[in-house]
Amino acid sequence: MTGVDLFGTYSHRDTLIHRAPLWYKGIALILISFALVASKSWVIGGVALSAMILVGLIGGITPKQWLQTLFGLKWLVIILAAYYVLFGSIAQGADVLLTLMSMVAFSKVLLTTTPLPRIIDGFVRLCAPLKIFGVKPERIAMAIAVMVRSIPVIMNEHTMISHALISRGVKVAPHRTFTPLIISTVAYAHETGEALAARGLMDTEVSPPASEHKN
Amino acid sequence: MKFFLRGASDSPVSGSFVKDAGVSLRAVNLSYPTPDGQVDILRDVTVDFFARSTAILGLNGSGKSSLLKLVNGINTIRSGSVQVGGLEVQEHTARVRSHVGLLFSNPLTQLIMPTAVEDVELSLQRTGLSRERRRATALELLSTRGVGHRAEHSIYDLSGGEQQLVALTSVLAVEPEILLLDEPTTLLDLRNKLRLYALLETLPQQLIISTHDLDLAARCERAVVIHNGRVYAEGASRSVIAQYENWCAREFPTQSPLASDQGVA
Ligand SMILES: Nc1ncnc2c1ncn2[C@@H]1O[C@H](COP(=O)(O)OP(=O)(O)OP(=O)(O)O)[C@@H](O)[C@H]1O
Ligand SMILES: [Mg+2]
Repeated sequence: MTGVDLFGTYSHRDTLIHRAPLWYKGIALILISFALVASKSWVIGGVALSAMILVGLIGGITPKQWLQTLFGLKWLVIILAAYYVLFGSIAQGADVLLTLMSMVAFSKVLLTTTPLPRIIDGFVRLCAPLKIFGVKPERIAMAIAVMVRSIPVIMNEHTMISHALISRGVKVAPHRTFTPLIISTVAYAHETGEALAARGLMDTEVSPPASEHKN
Repeated sequence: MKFFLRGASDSPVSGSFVKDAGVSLRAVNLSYPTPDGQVDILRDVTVDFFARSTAILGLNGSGKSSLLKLVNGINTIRSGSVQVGGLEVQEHTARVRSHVGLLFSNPLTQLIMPTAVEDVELSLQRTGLSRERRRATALELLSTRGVGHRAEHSIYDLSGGEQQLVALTSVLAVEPEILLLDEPTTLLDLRNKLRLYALLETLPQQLIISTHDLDLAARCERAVVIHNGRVYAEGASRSVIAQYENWCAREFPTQSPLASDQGVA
């Protein structure tokens, strides 16, 4: 299970969903989020999840990939389900779970059918009004790109730590993988910071003055 | 290879990058904070990089990568001075970085976007080209480096060598004047290694390469040996490599043979 399986990565195809303008997807995101947050009924979550899966199928996500995604959420589902069953609020639990799964499904559809730079561009435009408050949309966009990028890295790191445990004959358990995972995640964050800096992507001075630019 | 980059250039106007001024470190001390206090990594390092290509040699943990990260201001010195293109790195970090590219030893830490072409596009962001132009340029650059056919693939699906080439394409996309390479051949098979050697010879950039690959070092004009955070040798690559091999086989002297000297590499 990697983050790519869970959240998807762009696959170059020509489907209805790929061709849909980004702002359709943006409006869908806003509407669905509001509906999910506002509703207290699991029915809305169920409908949203089914709709997302259907849209994903049209966009070229195979049933197998969907199963992998849902399977990837098994721990989250088990822990949350146990929690809500324990506290006797099953309907609320179903609502929370379906909401989470719908959002994961939405992100998978979005990331599979839209190239990341387009999503980021769209986001930058969405955030443009924030400029008057001194917010730099490009910085936010970069942060998102890095976040999206980190998920598979951390997931792969988890796989590697598990393999290292197995190869020493130790059983994989959350309490054994936790600390190494935190350490490697911090190291990765540190290296990413350096990589961004080295590429000049963190500097306020975005482009060198034209007079000075290259031969 | 051209032997020296240095040419009589205009006296450096304050604040502008002088292409041929090279890299110069003066009495540099670098330390990293650790739970037990500061640990010295580079001690009183004085060295100049003016040659077209310089190899930095040294044992694991000797401070090679740390030195490279000084040149683009990722590491901050405790004392001394690092000048690149006539600019003090600490004062003009952003400007220096726009002229200096760094290829990390692990390309996966360097590649940020999910596919090869997107990553190169990201580098091109600060050129101010339109999105379509950026994409076209990115595809063209990837093809030039022989990885055009991998442009749309996830960076995870590329082999280590291909990742390396994509990372290099991203770094070179913004046409830096100085290219720092941290162990560029570790992930490569022999064929890719030979290709990289050939590629490096054709690049217009000044190269500073940290490496354990003595064949690569031999292809550089100059070489520097770092040991225990100090410069132990510098000069024409052949003789420096011979000296380094000798030390590795026997023992490094406790004091740097250059203890009171100043080096020009
Ligand atoms: N961020 C850090 N914090 C603390 N210590 C560090 C850090 N980065 C490197 N070091 C230490 O600094 C020393 C020099 O490290 P550096 O990575 O520069 O060595 P190197 O010559 O590149 O080695 P190698 O050949 O193994 O790549 C090492 O002892 C290392 O443990
Ligand atoms: Mg190193």
